[in-house]
Amino acid sequence: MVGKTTKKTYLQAFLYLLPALLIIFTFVIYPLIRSFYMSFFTDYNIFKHTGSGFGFVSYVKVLQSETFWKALKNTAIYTAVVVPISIIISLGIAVLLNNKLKGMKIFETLYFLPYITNVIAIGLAFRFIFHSNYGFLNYILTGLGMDPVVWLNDTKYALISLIIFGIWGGLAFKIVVFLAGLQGIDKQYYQAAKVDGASKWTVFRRITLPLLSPMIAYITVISLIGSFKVYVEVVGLFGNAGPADSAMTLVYYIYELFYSSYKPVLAAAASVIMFGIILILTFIQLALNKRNVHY
Amino acid sequence: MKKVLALILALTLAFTLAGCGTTNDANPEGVTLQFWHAMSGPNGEALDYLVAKFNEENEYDITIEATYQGGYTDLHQKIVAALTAGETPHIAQAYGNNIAVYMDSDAIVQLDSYIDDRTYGIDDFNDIIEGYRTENSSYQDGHFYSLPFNKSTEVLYYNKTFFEANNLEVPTTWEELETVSKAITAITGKPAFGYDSLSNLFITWTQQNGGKYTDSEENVYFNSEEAIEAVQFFVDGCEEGYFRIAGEDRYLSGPFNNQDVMMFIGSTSGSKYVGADTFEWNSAQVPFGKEEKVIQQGSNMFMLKSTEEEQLATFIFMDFLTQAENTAEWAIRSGYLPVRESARELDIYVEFVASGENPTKDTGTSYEPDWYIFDPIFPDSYDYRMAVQAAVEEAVLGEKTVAQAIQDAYDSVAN
Amino acid sequence: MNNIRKIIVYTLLTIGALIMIFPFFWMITGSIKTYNEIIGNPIVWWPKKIMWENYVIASEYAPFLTYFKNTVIVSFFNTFITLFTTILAAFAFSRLEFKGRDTLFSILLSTLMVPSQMLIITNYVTIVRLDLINTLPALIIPFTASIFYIYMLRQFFNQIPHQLYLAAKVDGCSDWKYMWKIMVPNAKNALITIGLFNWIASWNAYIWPLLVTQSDEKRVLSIGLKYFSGEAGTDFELLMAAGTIVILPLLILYLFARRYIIEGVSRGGIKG
Repeated sequence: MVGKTTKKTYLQAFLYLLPALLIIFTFVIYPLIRSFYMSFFTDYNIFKHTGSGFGFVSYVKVLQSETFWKALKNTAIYTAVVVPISIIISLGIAVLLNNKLKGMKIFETLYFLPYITNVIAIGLAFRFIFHSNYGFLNYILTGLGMDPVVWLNDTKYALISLIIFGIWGGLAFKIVVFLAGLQGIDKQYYQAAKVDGASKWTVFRRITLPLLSPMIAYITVISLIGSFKVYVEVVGLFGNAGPADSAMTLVYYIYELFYSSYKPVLAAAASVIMFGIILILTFIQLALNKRNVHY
Repeated sequence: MKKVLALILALTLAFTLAGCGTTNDANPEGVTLQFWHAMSGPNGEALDYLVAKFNEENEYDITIEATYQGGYTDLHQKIVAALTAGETPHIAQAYGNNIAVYMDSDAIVQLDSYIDDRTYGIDDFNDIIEGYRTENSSYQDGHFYSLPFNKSTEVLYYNKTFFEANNLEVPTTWEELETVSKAITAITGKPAFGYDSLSNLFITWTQQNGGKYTDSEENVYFNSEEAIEAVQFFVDGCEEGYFRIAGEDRYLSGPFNNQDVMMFIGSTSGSKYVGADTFEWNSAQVPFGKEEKVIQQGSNMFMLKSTEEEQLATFIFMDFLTQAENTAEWAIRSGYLPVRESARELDIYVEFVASGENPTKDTGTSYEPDWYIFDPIFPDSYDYRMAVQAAVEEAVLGEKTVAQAIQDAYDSVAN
Repeated sequence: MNNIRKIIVYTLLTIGALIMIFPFFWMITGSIKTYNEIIGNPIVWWPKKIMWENYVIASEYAPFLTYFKNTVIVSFFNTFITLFTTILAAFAFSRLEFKGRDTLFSILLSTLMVPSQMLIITNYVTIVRLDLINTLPALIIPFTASIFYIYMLRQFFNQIPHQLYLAAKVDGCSDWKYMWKIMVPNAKNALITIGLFNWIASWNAYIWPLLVTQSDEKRVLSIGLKYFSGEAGTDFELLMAAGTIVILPLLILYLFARRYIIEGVSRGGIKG
């Protein structure tokens, strides 16, 4: 362990962190504080930067709003399903891709394509896949003798459609990160395991996973935060918040409040509440990670 | 002699000032102005044409720089940001209820004195369609804060080929709509009619049924028998399979082009997406209930605070856009309608209509002035519209009964 | 690997690939269809006539060449400045020991927890105050540092043995030298990945660029794509054509970068 933190160490760390801190403070922390500040007013004129009625009124209003709770519920379900499933699938694909067979480079490129494809094109394609009459999914379902599902028009299935869409969309990034992580693992470990005659599953469990754990930890935290902020996917799939708002999410709710309903204080309050929830969840996730991560 | 001269002078002065109205004495010469808009594609080209025409022809050497700023939502976001930063364009385009929101900035200029101005005012102001004049002055203090720019309305699109082949009559009333829809569904096995905008459906059909929606004082009237009846009419049709909503198809023009639906009520501004090689379509006035009512939509143009000279120059441009010849050109080249009655009688417009290229240009301007309805302008009007839209959607999807859905919508806004 | 294993791997990967590339395929085929063919029901898989005109018409909607130039400039500077700030910050968080390090990291992490929609108005005002409205720097500067990438790189840095660092310090190696000569080369995988993601995000970003640019000379490709959507509907066939062109450079960049990630460094033991 290096010695105590000295003034010199602080200065040094400060210098290394300065560029990043400058940008992050100016363009994230500062507007964040302003936005949070706005939430404590009853009325706020965003043009003149003046507010009246200091208090928690906006928080009460948000917590009393049925739409807020619907958005929160949908967002929570979405996150709880999308994060673990997309991580497991992308990890599996990354492992599959991490071999010496021919053509892996082509496959990797194909798996990466969703990340760069235009978001409206993706929305269009999925509208087709989910279409109740002519859609691909229903084509398969009826082919297997099951009833077609009304994916996008039915309030019961809208959220599920969003979840499927979300899982799909989150794979490319995770696959690339896991792959980068896998390919950084020293081959010596695998060679040693081979010499010991370890089974593939043991190798995976005892060598691959632990060595990949820092990346898995990173992905779980980032994914959790990102999924909680789901918004673009909703618009891409439905154009609005789904049939009878059944796919309403927190950020969609906040966005509507701010730009369409013109209730900036409520939007700000909702943002603070959402921030608080994500903060708590992230800390839990970080604590869980600490136990499982090996550097 | 001096006394007589003085008297004459005084009298002349008195007449000049009191008699024929005032005039703005700023000098708008040589000014360059920024115009933020949301028009792209053919609409953007139509606007560029008019802007170029103005820049070339206006006698004050005023130059307009018109820039596309994204779609309506993006433009709205930009204006909000610009107002917050205190650096704004001179003129922009927006929906009335958004303009009402911008008023909080105190940077939106009242237009009454410009409209009435002796030199620069709008000639024959009453030639501008009455509904548009009323809408653009329906702000909470009753003054003009915007002028009509790109307006549209709704029409009934129908599959002319199919109708003729099956000897069907285009419906003009609710009863006829129901009858012909049932007949069509019996033939095709699919819903016959759809309505793109469920909020318009509620607002229009409630008023066609004799009910009321809201007013500038934000009173809520739509929790009524007339509204319930109107929505029930549509919900019944959906349940029995001869009506439908756009739903996952987003716009009914899609299913219409695929001949999955034979009629739909949609905006005139969507006409460019309607049509396919396999059949001929036409438009007709929307069917009416007890009363003839139809929605008027589209956005307006408004002026933001700047110098006296720039504001006057801005208004000169706004006036230009509303002139008969120019609004007719606008309507011909873009997806929108002319803002003046007389524009419809100009040769260029008559010829264009006669060419049959776009039936909605004729249908869209054939409504009587007192048939037009619009959303009164106040910041919360968006919430009202969303509430009634949700009500129709929930009722159609079977989530709530019509009465319950409307009651909930009423409760959510009548605070 | 035995044959059965091979077949299973290839089959699974192929099914997965088909699912992943479907929207891409949809976009490409859509770019050569007519509007009605795109929204057609039943599905029109291949157009009756290949509509190359879509590309021509789409290119006239907006000055895409100017947009392309700007997009390259913005993405380039954004990526490289970000790599710089990220390397420095990740190094500080991973190798330098100072009290409050983890707390600071958590605070920065929390900056990801707010929806960006709530921040952009204030950022717009900041840009106006800095007199940077309608300039390329306005598109670059706000995104030149993000805890999103710092976190990722820190994870990679943490996997390089701390002993190496301590040994180097004993040898009198400065932090700066250590960072550039040892840490960076050993995290090449991660850096290229971060650079790639950053470039792509910058290339496709449109909300912020649309907000802070006001004229065509400063706009980027993603804004050009907005021209195809209007209040009454979207010109899908044109949007697909333009969209295809916009991502082609990204595809090339990816293929180029991927080569370097695959040929990634095999981390040897403690080097002298």
